[in-house]
Amino acid sequence: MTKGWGVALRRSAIPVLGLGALCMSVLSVPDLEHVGMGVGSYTTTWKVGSCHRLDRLEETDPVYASDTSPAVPCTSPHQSETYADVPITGAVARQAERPSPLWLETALRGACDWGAMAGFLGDEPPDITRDIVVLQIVPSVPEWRAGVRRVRCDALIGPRTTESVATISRSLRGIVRTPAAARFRVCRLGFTQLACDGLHTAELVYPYVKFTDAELARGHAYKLAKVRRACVGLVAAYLGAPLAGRADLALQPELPGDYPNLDSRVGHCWVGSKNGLPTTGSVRRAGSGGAA
Amino acid sequence: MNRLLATGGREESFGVRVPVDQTAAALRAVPAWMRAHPAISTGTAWGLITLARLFVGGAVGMADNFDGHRLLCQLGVAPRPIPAGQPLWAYLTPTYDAYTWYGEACSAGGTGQPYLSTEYFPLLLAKLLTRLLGLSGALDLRMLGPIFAAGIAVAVGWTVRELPGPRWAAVLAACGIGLAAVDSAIAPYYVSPFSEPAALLGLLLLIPATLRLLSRERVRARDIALVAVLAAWTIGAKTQMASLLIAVVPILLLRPWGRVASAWTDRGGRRAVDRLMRVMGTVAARLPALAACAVLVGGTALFEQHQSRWLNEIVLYDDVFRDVLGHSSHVHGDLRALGLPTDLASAAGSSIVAPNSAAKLPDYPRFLRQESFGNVLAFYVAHPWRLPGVADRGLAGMAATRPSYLGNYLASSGAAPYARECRVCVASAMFTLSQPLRWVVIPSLWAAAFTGGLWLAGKRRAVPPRARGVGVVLAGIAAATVAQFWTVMLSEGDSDVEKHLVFALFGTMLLGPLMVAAVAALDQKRAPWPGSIPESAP
Repeated sequence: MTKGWGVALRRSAIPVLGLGALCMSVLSVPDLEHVGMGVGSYTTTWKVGSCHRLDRLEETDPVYASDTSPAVPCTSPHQSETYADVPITGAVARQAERPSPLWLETALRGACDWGAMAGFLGDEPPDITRDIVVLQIVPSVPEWRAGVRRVRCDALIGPRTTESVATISRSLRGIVRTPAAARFRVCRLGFTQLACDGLHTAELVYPYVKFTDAELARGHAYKLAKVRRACVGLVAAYLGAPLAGRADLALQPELPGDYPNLDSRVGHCWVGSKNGLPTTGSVRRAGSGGAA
Repeated sequence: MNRLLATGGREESFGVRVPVDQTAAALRAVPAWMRAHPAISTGTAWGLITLARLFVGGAVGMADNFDGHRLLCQLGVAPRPIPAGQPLWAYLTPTYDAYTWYGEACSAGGTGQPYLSTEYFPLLLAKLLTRLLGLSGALDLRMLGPIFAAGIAVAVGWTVRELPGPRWAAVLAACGIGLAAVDSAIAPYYVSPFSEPAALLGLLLLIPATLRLLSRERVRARDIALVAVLAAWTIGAKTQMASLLIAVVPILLLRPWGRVASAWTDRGGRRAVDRLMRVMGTVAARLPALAACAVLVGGTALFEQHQSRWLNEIVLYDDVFRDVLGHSSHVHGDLRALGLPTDLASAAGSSIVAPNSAAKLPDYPRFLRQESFGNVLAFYVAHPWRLPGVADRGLAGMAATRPSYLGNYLASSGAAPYARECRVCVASAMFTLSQPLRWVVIPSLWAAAFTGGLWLAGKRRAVPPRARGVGVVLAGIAAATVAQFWTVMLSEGDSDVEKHLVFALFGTMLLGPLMVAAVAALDQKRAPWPGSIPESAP
């Protein structure tokens, strides 16, 4: 009898242990319905002005097209903020199952208007920004099956590298009109472009100075004169006062084809300190971008 | 030894009783114990060798090419960010921190469908060990090392136990298997966030499990269940392992189940009734195996069906645009043969995320609607002259043995970025050396193993069932390896081929030791005929 029990125990040990391990593993997954998936309700926050913590590269990868993480207060660390919510239309909207991410990306290209984001950020000519891009968020699979066809348009801050994404702890609404915008303005140190909150020697003013083919064929003197002439008004608008009134600043015109933009067909208005010494912050008119 | 027992094993020296004799005697007893327990000692030795090759001189493993996320996110962890400026994928990044992934941020490529793999369980255990040992982070991939070392120890030891023939030959063959398992082409996967290790261990364990199943003329239901469970584990690690069924199903059905076999077949009577009874007996004697096969095949089909559509899309894209069209001299004609619009020609040779990807073209939805792996297979049936090119790319990938874009060392090791370890480079070196003769060496090895295995398996009157089992395993591994090779080449093509062909490579590496076991098995003499054998009984 004892021997029989011993044999039975020995024979059943492995299957019982295996089954036990399997059950423990399955029970350790909080939501059986979504085994192998992330947690939460699979419901997107569509509210304009909501902020989202997406601090892992995957969460802002175009392939990971939905975001059902709960919104966070805009005063806490986050990466994106919703500025609009637009409907999905056309052939892609008629698909019963959510199409592949690349098809969606192609079909929804431009669905979120850059101009609308600029308005949300308070960005208007002659402002030019960097490190803020549009992130399009589509419904989760359960939402798509339930008939939700809308795109959440987020302003995603950068720089986003292959290692990390950037973080901010304030709302992006109207940020270009505040001193905090320096980190999103375009500056350069030598020939390297960077954000204006870092050491730099010149700051870029928008828009660019356009040239026709005939003008591009003309000489250096003509191009320089044209860029200088165009930049006077642009820089004055940017600074909130004529450049001549700022003894500390000077125009640094960049002509079409100048190094490092050898293929460029436009001129650029750069403005920097007259003594050529590096500085930090922005020269944008106070109240529209923050002084240095 | 006797003196030790007599004196109690202690020696008086300068007033201190030192157990010198006892220790020395114990040490002297070790070789004898090892000889008496070859399975345990060989298994333990290979477990220790695995640990040593993974950790002595600094931990080695495989860098994550972002594929790890779909599996690791299920454990609620995220990789610790690499320092700015460190080249991507250049080093092993073993430390993961706790992180809450919401919704589809944890799914196969963001598709809203899970990525399922049995590798989840070793990773879960590694997470537990990380916590128990108080290591930094929520999960340290290095904890996978002891887990797979233990698995290898069990597999090698169990193989020694199940192999027929002289013990030295069994130990030699099992050591060959152990050597393949710790080779630099294979071992770095053990410490990685990929699903390959579960399949590699499953393959290793299937060898002794199958030997055990086939050690009798009439198989036992529990051995059938064991092989089926291990096959399910192996296939469940990675979808490409479905090709294993080509070997496992025939093996499970090969021999009758002991309990039914004699009851149905040991009957006399008229010839027609006999024949009918024999057929029914054959079926009845295979009921457990048939049930196991049905579960395995059905389960595999379900598993394949539940794979992420996005992953299938990537694989199909690579198959069509990188492999078929990327190596085509008549892109337009091939597109027509595949039933696709010719304006996709500009994407020939591209990857799905390349600037010239077909995914950016208006006809891409049509590709998704119309194309299938069946179509690609039909294309190759209609264009068989394209197959040698496919095979050549696969053989070249096997000869390369492992991906060059994934580093094996820790960033703190001082190794160069993307450096690949070569601590046990036996098979790697042999494959690399055979590269110019890859068309001769690799297919010849497959063919020799398959025919030799079949020949041994067919020697029913000359060798005992246990020895024939070695032949079946040899032929089975050869068949599964060839099936694996073609499964990969006809589905994923030459995209990341060195990594995708790791199972074909491992299967090929196992053939050498199994051939040694087969030669040793040939030496076995069949015991006197035990009575009526179902298949041959009059």
